[in-house]
Amino acid sequence: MASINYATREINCKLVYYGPGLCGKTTNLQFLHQHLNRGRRGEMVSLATPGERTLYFDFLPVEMAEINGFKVKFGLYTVPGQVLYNATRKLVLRGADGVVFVADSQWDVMQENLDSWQNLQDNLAGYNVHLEDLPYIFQYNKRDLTDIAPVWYMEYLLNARGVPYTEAVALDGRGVFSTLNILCRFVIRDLVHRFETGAF
Amino acid sequence: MAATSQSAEQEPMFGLMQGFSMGTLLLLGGLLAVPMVKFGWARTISDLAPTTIIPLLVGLLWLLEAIAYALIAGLLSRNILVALSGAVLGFITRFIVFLLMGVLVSSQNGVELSDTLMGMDGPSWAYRALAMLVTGTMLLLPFRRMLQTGYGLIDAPAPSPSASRAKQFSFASKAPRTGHYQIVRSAPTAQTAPATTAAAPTAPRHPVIQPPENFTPVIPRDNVFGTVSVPASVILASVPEAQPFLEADKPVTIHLAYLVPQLQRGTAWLIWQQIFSAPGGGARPANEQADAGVRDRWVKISPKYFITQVPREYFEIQRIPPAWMRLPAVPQESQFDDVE
Repeated sequence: MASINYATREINCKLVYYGPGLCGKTTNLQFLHQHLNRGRRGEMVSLATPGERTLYFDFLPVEMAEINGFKVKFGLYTVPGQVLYNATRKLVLRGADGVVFVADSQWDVMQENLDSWQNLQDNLAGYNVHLEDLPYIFQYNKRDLTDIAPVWYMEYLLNARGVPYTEAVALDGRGVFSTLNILCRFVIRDLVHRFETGAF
Repeated sequence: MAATSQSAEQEPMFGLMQGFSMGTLLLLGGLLAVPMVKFGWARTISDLAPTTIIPLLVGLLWLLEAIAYALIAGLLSRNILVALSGAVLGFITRFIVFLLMGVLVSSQNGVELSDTLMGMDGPSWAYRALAMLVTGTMLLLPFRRMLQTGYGLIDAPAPSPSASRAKQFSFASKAPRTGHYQIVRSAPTAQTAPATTAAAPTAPRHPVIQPPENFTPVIPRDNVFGTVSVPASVILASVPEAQPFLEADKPVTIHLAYLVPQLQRGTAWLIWQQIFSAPGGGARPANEQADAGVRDRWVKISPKYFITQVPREYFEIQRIPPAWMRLPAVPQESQFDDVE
Protein backbone atom coordinates (compact mmCIF):
# COMPACT_ATOMS: atom_id res chain seq x y z
CA MET A 1 0.00 0.00 0.00
CA ALA A 2 1.43 3.36 -1.01
CA SER A 3 2.36 5.78 1.72
CA ILE A 4 2.03 9.55 1.56
CA ASN A 5 4.33 11.80 3.50
CA TYR A 6 2.66 15.21 3.66
CA ALA A 7 5.63 16.80 5.38
CA THR A 8 8.07 15.98 2.60
CA ARG A 9 5.30 15.84 -0.02
CA GLU A 10 6.32 12.38 -1.16
CA ILE A 11 4.36 9.38 -2.29
CA ASN A 12 6.09 6.02 -1.97
CA CYS A 13 4.81 3.10 -3.99
CA LYS A 14 5.91 -0.50 -4.12
CA LEU A 15 6.19 -2.38 -7.41
CA VAL A 16 7.00 -6.07 -7.46
CA TYR A 17 8.54 -8.03 -10.32
CA TYR A 18 7.10 -11.52 -10.05
CA GLY A 19 7.68 -14.61 -12.15
CA PRO A 20 9.26 -18.05 -12.32
CA GLY A 21 12.91 -18.67 -11.59
CA LEU A 22 15.44 -17.38 -14.12
CA CYS A 23 12.83 -15.46 -16.09
CA GLY A 24 14.75 -12.18 -15.87
CA LYS A 25 13.29 -10.24 -12.95
CA THR A 26 16.65 -9.26 -11.51
CA THR A 27 17.96 -8.53 -15.00
CA ASN A 28 15.16 -5.99 -15.38
CA LEU A 29 16.22 -4.20 -12.23
CA GLN A 30 19.88 -4.40 -13.10
CA PHE A 31 19.25 -2.77 -16.45
CA LEU A 32 17.18 -0.04 -14.86
CA HIS A 33 19.88 0.53 -12.30
CA GLN A 34 22.55 0.81 -14.96
CA HIS A 35 20.63 3.03 -17.34
CA LEU A 36 18.56 5.33 -15.19
CA ASN A 37 19.75 8.81 -14.49
CA ARG A 38 21.68 8.72 -11.23
CA GLY A 39 19.60 11.52 -9.85
CA ARG A 40 16.45 9.46 -10.19
CA ARG A 41 17.54 6.19 -8.71
CA GLY A 42 19.18 4.97 -5.54
CA GLU A 43 21.54 2.09 -5.07
CA MET A 44 20.34 -1.39 -5.87
CA VAL A 45 20.27 -3.86 -3.04
CA SER A 46 20.54 -7.46 -4.13
CA LEU A 47 20.67 -10.51 -1.92
CA ALA A 48 21.72 -13.31 -4.21
CA THR A 49 23.49 -16.63 -4.02
CA PRO A 50 26.92 -17.11 -5.62
CA GLY A 51 25.04 -18.59 -8.57
CA GLU A 52 23.27 -15.27 -9.17
CA ARG A 53 19.95 -16.64 -7.95
CA THR A 54 17.93 -14.21 -5.89
CA LEU A 55 17.94 -15.39 -2.31
CA TYR A 56 15.63 -12.92 -0.68
CA PHE A 57 14.82 -10.00 -2.94
CA ASP A 58 16.30 -7.19 -5.00
CA PHE A 59 15.41 -3.61 -4.30
CA LEU A 60 15.88 -0.52 -6.40
CA PRO A 61 14.40 2.83 -5.39
CA VAL A 62 13.54 5.13 -8.29
CA GLU A 63 11.95 8.51 -8.46
CA MET A 64 9.51 9.37 -11.16
CA ALA A 65 7.64 12.60 -11.41
CA GLU A 66 5.77 15.20 -9.51
CA ILE A 67 2.03 14.89 -9.52
CA ASN A 68 0.00 17.68 -7.97
CA GLY A 69 3.06 18.84 -6.10
CA PHE A 70 3.88 15.39 -4.72
CA LYS A 71 7.06 13.62 -5.63
CA VAL A 72 6.33 10.01 -6.57
CA LYS A 73 8.92 7.42 -5.59
CA PHE A 74 8.77 3.78 -6.53
CA GLY A 75 10.44 0.95 -4.70
CA LEU A 76 11.09 -1.81 -7.22
CA TYR A 77 11.33 -5.28 -5.75
CA THR A 78 11.90 -8.71 -7.21
CA VAL A 79 10.94 -11.97 -5.60
CA PRO A 80 12.98 -15.18 -5.56
CA GLY A 81 11.54 -17.29 -8.33
CA GLN A 82 12.54 -20.66 -6.96
CA VAL A 83 9.56 -22.70 -5.85
CA LEU A 84 10.93 -23.27 -2.34
CA TYR A 85 10.95 -19.63 -1.36
CA ASN A 86 7.25 -19.02 -1.28
CA ALA A 87 7.20 -17.49 2.20
CA THR A 88 9.72 -14.92 1.00
CA ARG A 89 7.73 -14.24 -2.14
CA LYS A 90 4.61 -13.70 -0.12
CA LEU A 91 6.41 -11.39 2.26
CA VAL A 92 7.84 -9.28 -0.56
CA LEU A 93 4.43 -9.11 -2.20
CA ARG A 94 2.88 -7.62 0.88
CA GLY A 95 1.63 -4.09 0.34
CA ALA A 96 2.47 -4.06 -3.38
CA ASP A 97 0.87 -1.27 -5.39
CA GLY A 98 1.59 -2.90 -8.73
CA VAL A 99 3.01 -6.09 -10.15
CA VAL A 100 4.98 -6.90 -13.27
CA PHE A 101 4.61 -10.55 -14.09
CA VAL A 102 7.75 -11.48 -16.00
CA ALA A 103 7.04 -14.57 -18.07
CA ASP A 104 9.74 -16.59 -19.73
CA SER A 105 8.84 -17.03 -23.38
CA GLN A 106 10.60 -20.34 -23.85
CA TRP A 107 8.37 -23.31 -24.57
CA ASP A 108 10.12 -25.48 -22.04
CA VAL A 109 9.23 -23.27 -19.09
CA MET A 110 5.62 -22.62 -19.98
CA GLN A 111 4.43 -24.78 -17.10
CA GLU A 112 6.64 -22.83 -14.69
CA ASN A 113 5.03 -19.63 -15.96
CA LEU A 114 1.60 -21.02 -15.20
CA ASP A 115 2.64 -22.28 -11.78
CA SER A 116 4.16 -18.95 -10.85
CA TRP A 117 1.11 -17.08 -12.13
CA GLN A 118 -1.13 -19.25 -9.99
CA ASN A 119 1.25 -18.79 -7.07
CA LEU A 120 0.99 -15.02 -7.43
CA GLN A 121 -2.79 -15.17 -7.24
CA ASP A 122 -2.66 -17.51 -4.25
CA ASN A 123 -0.24 -15.28 -2.39
CA LEU A 124 -2.29 -12.19 -3.13
CA ALA A 125 -5.39 -13.99 -1.94
CA GLY A 126 -3.53 -14.55 1.33
CA TYR A 127 -3.59 -10.77 1.75
CA ASN A 128 -7.16 -10.55 0.54
CA VAL A 129 -6.04 -8.80 -2.62
CA HIS A 130 -7.53 -9.62 -6.00
CA LEU A 131 -6.02 -8.91 -9.37
CA GLU A 132 -9.19 -7.06 -10.24
CA ASP A 133 -8.04 -4.38 -7.82
CA LEU A 134 -4.29 -4.42 -8.26
CA PRO A 135 -2.61 -2.93 -11.33
CA TYR A 136 -0.40 -5.45 -13.07
CA ILE A 137 1.04 -6.07 -16.47
CA PHE A 138 2.80 -8.88 -18.26
CA GLN A 139 6.27 -8.79 -19.64
CA TYR A 140 7.02 -11.59 -22.06
CA ASN A 141 10.76 -11.80 -21.72
CA LYS A 142 13.54 -13.49 -23.70
CA ARG A 143 11.94 -12.74 -27.02
CA ASP A 144 15.33 -13.01 -28.68
CA LEU A 145 15.58 -16.75 -28.15
CA THR A 146 14.60 -19.26 -30.80
CA ASP A 147 12.41 -21.85 -29.13
CA ILE A 148 9.78 -19.46 -27.81
CA ALA A 149 6.02 -19.42 -27.78
CA PRO A 150 4.22 -16.81 -29.84
CA VAL A 151 2.87 -13.90 -27.88
CA TRP A 152 -0.72 -14.69 -28.74
CA TYR A 153 -0.33 -18.13 -27.20
CA MET A 154 1.14 -16.67 -24.01
CA GLU A 155 -1.70 -14.21 -23.93
CA TYR A 156 -4.08 -17.16 -24.20
CA LEU A 157 -2.33 -18.95 -21.36
CA LEU A 158 -1.83 -16.10 -18.93
CA ASN A 159 -3.66 -12.93 -19.76
CA ALA A 160 -7.28 -13.74 -19.16
CA ARG A 161 -8.18 -10.11 -18.41
CA GLY A 162 -6.46 -8.52 -21.34
CA VAL A 163 -4.18 -6.30 -19.29
CA PRO A 164 -1.27 -4.58 -21.07
CA TYR A 165 1.79 -6.59 -21.95
CA THR A 166 5.22 -5.90 -23.31
CA GLU A 167 7.68 -7.97 -25.23
CA ALA A 168 11.14 -7.75 -23.77
CA VAL A 169 14.73 -8.82 -23.92
CA ALA A 170 15.76 -7.70 -20.46
CA LEU A 171 19.39 -8.52 -21.08
CA ASP A 172 19.54 -5.88 -23.83
CA GLY A 173 17.03 -3.62 -22.16
CA ARG A 174 14.39 -4.04 -24.82
CA GLY A 175 10.99 -3.43 -23.29
CA VAL A 176 12.37 -2.84 -19.80
CA PHE A 177 11.56 0.86 -19.60
CA SER A 178 8.25 0.56 -21.39
CA THR A 179 7.21 -2.14 -18.90
CA LEU A 180 8.01 0.12 -15.96
CA ASN A 181 6.39 3.17 -17.53
CA ILE A 182 3.16 1.37 -18.36
CA LEU A 183 2.83 -0.06 -14.88
CA CYS A 184 3.69 3.25 -13.21
CA ARG A 185 1.00 4.94 -15.25
CA PHE A 186 -1.64 2.51 -14.06
CA VAL A 187 -0.40 2.57 -10.48
CA ILE A 188 -0.60 6.36 -10.37
CA ARG A 189 -4.07 6.33 -11.89
CA ASP A 190 -5.16 3.83 -9.30
CA LEU A 191 -3.52 5.83 -6.54
CA VAL A 192 -5.22 9.06 -7.58
CA HIS A 193 -8.53 7.27 -7.92
CA ARG A 194 -8.27 5.78 -4.45
CA PHE A 195 -7.26 9.12 -3.04
CA GLU A 196 -10.18 10.89 -4.68
CA THR A 197 -12.70 8.30 -3.63
CA GLY A 198 -11.41 8.24 -0.08
CA ALA A 199 -10.42 4.60 -0.34
CA PHE A 200 -6.82 5.42 0.47
CA MET B 1 6.59 -26.89 51.39
CA ALA B 2 4.80 -28.41 54.36
CA ALA B 3 1.57 -28.60 52.42
CA THR B 4 3.28 -30.31 49.54
CA SER B 5 4.96 -32.83 51.81
CA GLN B 6 1.71 -33.65 53.51
CA SER B 7 -0.06 -34.15 50.24
CA ALA B 8 2.81 -36.32 49.00
CA GLU B 9 2.37 -38.57 51.98
CA GLN B 10 -1.36 -38.76 51.35
CA GLU B 11 -1.14 -39.41 47.67
CA PRO B 12 0.92 -42.49 46.73
CA MET B 13 1.37 -41.29 43.15
CA PHE B 14 2.53 -37.91 44.29
CA GLY B 15 4.94 -39.56 46.68
CA LEU B 16 6.25 -41.71 43.91
CA MET B 17 6.87 -38.68 41.79
CA GLN B 18 8.56 -36.93 44.67
CA GLY B 19 10.81 -39.92 45.09
CA PHE B 20 11.52 -39.95 41.41
CA SER B 21 12.33 -36.28 41.45
CA MET B 22 14.66 -36.74 44.41
CA GLY B 23 16.42 -39.53 42.56
CA THR B 24 16.79 -37.38 39.50
CA LEU B 25 18.08 -34.54 41.60
CA LEU B 26 20.68 -36.74 43.26
CA LEU B 27 21.77 -38.09 39.90
CA LEU B 28 22.15 -34.61 38.48
CA GLY B 29 23.93 -33.53 41.65
CA GLY B 30 26.39 -36.34 41.27
CA LEU B 31 27.00 -35.48 37.64
CA LEU B 32 27.52 -31.87 38.55
CA ALA B 33 29.76 -32.62 41.48
CA VAL B 34 32.30 -34.63 39.48
CA PRO B 35 33.48 -31.79 37.24
CA MET B 36 33.36 -29.36 40.14
CA VAL B 37 35.77 -31.50 42.10
CA LYS B 38 37.83 -32.32 39.03
CA PHE B 39 38.35 -28.69 38.05
CA GLY B 40 39.07 -27.60 41.58
CA TRP B 41 35.86 -25.68 42.24
CA ALA B 42 35.37 -27.89 45.28
CA ARG B 43 38.00 -29.90 47.02
CA THR B 44 35.77 -32.81 47.95
CA ILE B 45 32.21 -33.85 47.46
CA SER B 46 31.58 -32.96 51.08
CA ASP B 47 32.33 -29.32 50.29
CA LEU B 48 29.24 -29.23 48.13
CA ALA B 49 26.70 -28.64 50.79
CA PRO B 50 23.06 -29.13 49.79
CA THR B 51 22.41 -25.43 50.33
CA THR B 52 24.92 -24.62 47.63
CA ILE B 53 24.16 -27.32 45.17
CA ILE B 54 20.38 -27.09 45.16
CA PRO B 55 20.23 -23.65 43.48
CA LEU B 56 22.85 -24.84 40.99
CA LEU B 57 20.78 -27.89 40.20
CA VAL B 58 17.66 -25.83 39.80
CA GLY B 59 19.48 -23.54 37.41
CA LEU B 60 20.83 -26.53 35.53
CA LEU B 61 17.36 -27.95 35.20
CA TRP B 62 16.07 -24.70 33.82
CA LEU B 63 18.91 -24.62 31.33
CA LEU B 64 18.36 -28.21 30.28
CA GLU B 65 14.70 -27.58 29.87
CA ALA B 66 15.28 -24.51 27.73
CA ILE B 67 17.78 -26.42 25.61
CA ALA B 68 15.30 -29.24 25.18
CA TYR B 69 12.58 -26.90 23.97
CA ALA B 70 15.00 -25.11 21.67
CA LEU B 71 16.27 -28.44 20.31
CA ILE B 72 12.77 -29.64 19.51
CA ALA B 73 11.88 -26.41 17.77
CA GLY B 74 15.26 -26.24 16.08
CA LEU B 75 15.12 -29.78 14.77
CA LEU B 76 11.68 -29.20 13.37
CA SER B 77 12.34 -25.84 11.80
CA ARG B 78 16.12 -25.90 11.16
CA ASN B 79 16.10 -22.24 12.01
CA ILE B 80 17.88 -20.65 14.95
CA LEU B 81 15.31 -17.91 15.49
CA VAL B 82 12.47 -20.38 15.53
CA ALA B 83 14.47 -22.56 17.91
CA LEU B 84 14.79 -19.67 20.32
CA SER B 85 11.12 -18.79 20.00
CA GLY B 86 10.33 -22.48 20.50
CA ALA B 87 12.13 -22.34 23.82
CA VAL B 88 10.02 -19.37 24.83
CA LEU B 89 6.88 -21.11 23.66
CA GLY B 90 7.88 -24.18 25.63
CA PHE B 91 8.29 -22.18 28.80
CA ILE B 92 4.97 -20.45 28.29
CA THR B 93 3.33 -23.84 27.89
CA ARG B 94 5.21 -25.09 30.91
CA PHE B 95 3.97 -22.33 33.16
CA ILE B 96 0.40 -22.75 31.97
CA VAL B 97 0.62 -26.43 32.89
CA PHE B 98 2.36 -25.51 36.13
CA LEU B 99 -0.57 -23.31 37.06
CA LEU B 100 -3.11 -25.97 36.10
CA MET B 101 -1.19 -28.53 38.16
CA GLY B 102 -1.16 -26.20 41.09
CA VAL B 103 -4.91 -25.80 40.82
CA LEU B 104 -5.34 -29.56 40.61
CA VAL B 105 -3.08 -30.33 43.55
CA SER B 106 -4.56 -27.60 45.73
CA SER B 107 -8.13 -28.72 44.99
CA GLN B 108 -7.26 -32.33 45.74
CA ASN B 109 -5.59 -31.46 49.02
CA GLY B 110 -7.87 -28.64 50.03
CA VAL B 111 -4.95 -26.23 50.19
CA GLU B 112 -4.86 -22.65 49.01
CA LEU B 113 -3.54 -22.31 45.48
CA SER B 114 -0.94 -19.76 46.53
CA ASP B 115 0.34 -22.12 49.23
CA THR B 116 0.52 -24.96 46.76
CA LEU B 117 2.42 -22.94 44.21
CA MET B 118 4.81 -21.61 46.81
CA GLY B 119 5.26 -25.09 48.18
CA MET B 120 6.25 -26.57 44.84
CA ASP B 121 9.92 -25.82 45.21
CA GLY B 122 13.04 -27.52 46.44
CA PRO B 123 13.26 -31.19 45.55
CA SER B 124 9.97 -31.08 43.69
CA TRP B 125 11.66 -28.96 41.05
CA ALA B 126 12.88 -32.05 39.28
CA TYR B 127 9.44 -33.56 39.22
CA ARG B 128 7.90 -30.33 38.08
CA ALA B 129 10.49 -29.70 35.42
CA LEU B 130 10.26 -33.20 34.00
CA ALA B 131 6.48 -33.10 33.98
CA MET B 132 6.53 -29.75 32.27
CA LEU B 133 9.11 -30.88 29.77
CA VAL B 134 7.01 -33.88 28.76
CA THR B 135 3.82 -31.89 28.66
CA GLY B 136 5.43 -29.03 26.84
CA THR B 137 6.90 -31.36 24.26
CA MET B 138 3.57 -32.99 23.67
CA LEU B 139 1.96 -29.63 23.24
CA LEU B 140 4.67 -28.49 20.92
CA LEU B 141 4.32 -31.37 18.51
CA PRO B 142 0.99 -30.23 17.06
CA PHE B 143 2.76 -27.03 16.13
CA ARG B 144 5.15 -28.95 13.95
CA ARG B 145 3.98 -27.36 10.71
CA MET B 146 4.01 -23.91 12.28
CA LEU B 147 7.52 -24.47 13.50
CA GLN B 148 8.67 -25.78 10.16
CA THR B 149 7.56 -22.59 8.49
CA GLY B 150 8.65 -20.39 11.37
CA TYR B 151 5.05 -19.49 12.13
CA GLY B 152 4.66 -18.59 8.44
CA LEU B 153 7.67 -16.28 8.43
CA ILE B 154 10.30 -18.50 6.84
CA ASP B 155 10.41 -20.88 3.93
CA ALA B 156 9.78 -24.54 4.47
CA PRO B 157 12.89 -26.72 4.43
CA ALA B 158 13.78 -28.07 1.04
CA PRO B 159 12.35 -31.53 0.39
CA SER B 160 14.75 -34.34 -0.34
CA PRO B 161 15.40 -35.06 -3.99
CA SER B 162 13.42 -38.28 -3.78
CA ALA B 163 10.44 -36.44 -2.30
CA SER B 164 10.68 -33.81 -5.02
CA ARG B 165 10.63 -36.44 -7.69
CA ALA B 166 7.64 -38.09 -6.11
CA LYS B 167 5.69 -34.87 -6.17
CA GLN B 168 6.38 -34.14 -9.78
CA PHE B 169 3.32 -34.30 -11.91
CA SER B 170 3.15 -37.13 -14.33
CA PHE B 171 0.60 -38.32 -16.78
CA ALA B 172 1.72 -41.86 -16.26
CA SER B 173 -0.52 -43.75 -13.92
CA LYS B 174 1.21 -45.44 -11.01
CA ALA B 175 -1.46 -48.04 -10.58
CA PRO B 176 -3.36 -50.25 -12.98
CA ARG B 177 -6.17 -48.49 -14.76
CA THR B 178 -9.24 -48.45 -12.57
CA GLY B 179 -11.68 -47.21 -15.12
CA HIS B 180 -13.03 -44.35 -13.01
CA TYR B 181 -12.27 -41.91 -15.77
CA GLN B 182 -14.37 -42.18 -18.83
CA ILE B 183 -12.68 -41.02 -21.96
CA VAL B 184 -14.95 -38.94 -24.10
CA ARG B 185 -14.45 -39.30 -27.76
CA SER B 186 -15.77 -36.81 -30.23
CA ALA B 187 -15.55 -38.48 -33.61
CA PRO B 188 -16.77 -42.06 -33.45
CA THR B 189 -15.37 -43.10 -36.79
CA ALA B 190 -11.91 -41.76 -36.14
CA GLN B 191 -11.69 -42.58 -32.47
CA THR B 192 -12.85 -46.13 -32.28
CA ALA B 193 -10.06 -48.18 -30.84
CA PRO B 194 -8.85 -51.18 -32.77
CA ALA B 195 -10.86 -54.26 -31.88
CA THR B 196 -7.78 -56.14 -30.86
CA THR B 197 -7.01 -53.55 -28.20
CA ALA B 198 -10.06 -54.35 -26.10
CA ALA B 199 -9.22 -58.01 -26.09
CA ALA B 200 -5.57 -57.52 -25.34
CA PRO B 201 -4.56 -60.53 -23.27
CA THR B 202 -1.56 -58.94 -21.58
CA ALA B 203 -0.93 -55.70 -19.75
CA PRO B 204 0.60 -52.89 -21.79
CA ARG B 205 4.33 -52.72 -21.75
CA HIS B 206 4.17 -49.11 -20.55
CA PRO B 207 1.67 -47.48 -18.20
CA VAL B 208 -1.33 -46.16 -20.01
CA ILE B 209 -1.22 -42.39 -20.00
CA GLN B 210 -4.28 -40.87 -18.45
CA PRO B 211 -5.41 -37.29 -18.07
CA PRO B 212 -4.78 -35.74 -14.67
CA GLU B 213 -7.54 -35.97 -12.12
CA ASN B 214 -8.34 -32.30 -12.39
CA PHE B 215 -8.52 -32.53 -16.13
CA THR B 216 -11.37 -30.54 -17.58
CA PRO B 217 -11.98 -31.00 -21.24
CA VAL B 218 -12.20 -27.72 -23.06
CA ILE B 219 -15.57 -27.12 -24.66
CA PRO B 220 -15.02 -28.11 -28.25
CA ARG B 221 -15.42 -25.52 -30.91
CA ASP B 222 -15.61 -25.86 -34.60
CA ASN B 223 -12.53 -27.27 -36.21
CA VAL B 224 -10.76 -27.84 -32.94
CA PHE B 225 -11.03 -31.54 -33.17
CA GLY B 226 -9.17 -32.80 -36.10
CA THR B 227 -5.85 -34.13 -37.08
CA VAL B 228 -2.50 -32.53 -36.58
CA SER B 229 0.85 -33.51 -37.87
CA VAL B 230 3.63 -33.89 -35.35
CA PRO B 231 7.15 -35.27 -35.62
CA ALA B 232 7.31 -38.99 -34.99
CA SER B 233 9.94 -38.36 -32.33
CA VAL B 234 7.30 -36.54 -30.26
CA ILE B 235 5.04 -39.57 -30.38
CA LEU B 236 7.91 -41.88 -29.57
CA ALA B 237 8.80 -39.83 -26.50
CA SER B 238 5.46 -40.76 -25.00
CA VAL B 239 4.84 -44.07 -26.72
CA PRO B 240 8.11 -45.94 -27.16
CA GLU B 241 6.36 -49.06 -28.37
CA ALA B 242 5.39 -47.21 -31.51
CA GLN B 243 9.05 -47.47 -32.50
CA PRO B 244 8.57 -50.43 -34.87
CA PHE B 245 5.82 -48.66 -36.73
CA LEU B 246 7.27 -45.20 -37.20
CA GLU B 247 10.14 -43.60 -38.92
CA ALA B 248 11.58 -41.06 -36.51
CA ASP B 249 12.34 -38.37 -39.05
CA LYS B 250 8.88 -38.24 -40.60
CA PRO B 251 5.82 -36.43 -39.31
CA VAL B 252 2.82 -38.41 -38.16
CA THR B 253 -0.76 -37.34 -38.43
CA ILE B 254 -2.67 -38.00 -35.24
CA HIS B 255 -6.03 -37.09 -33.89
CA LEU B 256 -6.06 -34.08 -31.60
CA ALA B 257 -8.73 -34.74 -29.04
CA TYR B 258 -8.29 -32.04 -26.45
CA LEU B 259 -6.25 -29.01 -25.74
CA VAL B 260 -5.51 -28.34 -22.13
CA PRO B 261 -4.48 -24.73 -21.74
CA GLN B 262 -3.74 -25.17 -18.07
CA LEU B 263 -0.93 -27.53 -18.89
CA GLN B 264 2.31 -26.95 -20.60
CA ARG B 265 1.61 -29.74 -22.98
CA GLY B 266 -1.51 -30.35 -24.92
CA THR B 267 -3.08 -33.73 -24.59
CA ALA B 268 -3.96 -35.78 -27.59
CA TRP B 269 -5.69 -39.08 -27.94
CA LEU B 270 -3.48 -41.33 -29.96
CA ILE B 271 -5.27 -43.76 -32.20
CA TRP B 272 -3.11 -46.60 -33.31
CA GLN B 273 -4.99 -46.92 -36.54
CA GLN B 274 -3.69 -43.47 -37.33
CA ILE B 275 -0.17 -44.59 -36.67
CA PHE B 276 -0.59 -47.50 -39.00
CA SER B 277 -2.09 -45.40 -41.71
CA ALA B 278 0.12 -42.36 -41.16
CA PRO B 279 2.37 -41.22 -43.98
CA GLY B 280 5.35 -41.99 -41.80
CA GLY B 281 3.74 -44.99 -40.17
CA GLY B 282 4.86 -48.52 -40.76
CA ALA B 283 2.90 -51.62 -41.48
CA ARG B 284 0.29 -52.85 -39.04
CA PRO B 285 1.49 -55.90 -37.09
CA ALA B 286 0.46 -59.00 -38.89
CA ASN B 287 -0.48 -61.19 -35.97
CA GLU B 288 -2.41 -60.67 -32.80
CA GLN B 289 0.63 -61.28 -30.68
CA ALA B 290 2.34 -58.23 -32.07
CA ASP B 291 -0.83 -56.22 -31.65
CA ALA B 292 -1.27 -57.21 -28.01
CA GLY B 293 0.83 -54.42 -26.54
CA VAL B 294 -0.72 -51.77 -28.67
CA ARG B 295 -3.32 -49.59 -27.03
CA ASP B 296 -4.89 -46.32 -27.80
CA ARG B 297 -3.72 -43.79 -25.30
CA TRP B 298 -3.22 -40.23 -24.27
CA VAL B 299 -0.01 -38.68 -25.38
CA LYS B 300 1.54 -35.42 -24.31
CA ILE B 301 2.36 -33.05 -27.08
CA SER B 302 3.83 -29.65 -26.48
CA PRO B 303 1.61 -26.97 -27.99
CA LYS B 304 4.53 -25.81 -30.07
CA TYR B 305 3.92 -28.78 -32.33
CA PHE B 306 0.33 -28.05 -33.07
CA ILE B 307 -0.67 -24.45 -32.33
CA THR B 308 0.05 -23.40 -35.86
CA GLN B 309 -2.20 -26.17 -37.13
CA VAL B 310 -5.16 -25.25 -34.97
CA PRO B 311 -7.40 -22.36 -35.96
CA ARG B 312 -6.38 -19.18 -34.15
CA GLU B 313 -9.98 -18.56 -33.12
CA TYR B 314 -9.62 -21.33 -30.61
CA PHE B 315 -7.12 -19.28 -28.67
CA GLU B 316 -9.24 -16.19 -28.60
CA ILE B 317 -10.95 -15.86 -25.29
CA GLN B 318 -13.29 -13.20 -24.02
CA ARG B 319 -11.40 -10.74 -21.90
CA ILE B 320 -12.96 -8.29 -19.49
CA PRO B 321 -10.43 -5.66 -18.43
CA PRO B 322 -10.27 -4.95 -14.71
CA ALA B 323 -11.63 -1.70 -13.31
CA TRP B 324 -8.21 -0.11 -12.78
CA MET B 325 -7.58 -0.25 -16.53
CA ARG B 326 -10.58 1.96 -17.20
CA LEU B 327 -9.53 4.78 -14.88
CA PRO B 328 -8.91 8.17 -16.48
CA ALA B 329 -5.35 9.15 -17.26
CA VAL B 330 -3.44 11.36 -14.87
CA PRO B 331 -1.24 14.07 -16.34
CA GLN B 332 2.36 13.31 -15.59
CA GLU B 333 5.42 15.40 -15.98
CA SER B 334 7.74 12.67 -17.10
CA GLN B 335 8.42 9.02 -17.43
CA PHE B 336 11.46 6.81 -17.03
CA ASP B 337 13.92 6.98 -19.88
CA ASP B 338 17.10 5.22 -20.79
CA VAL B 339 19.67 7.97 -20.37
CA GLU B 340 22.98 6.24 -19.71
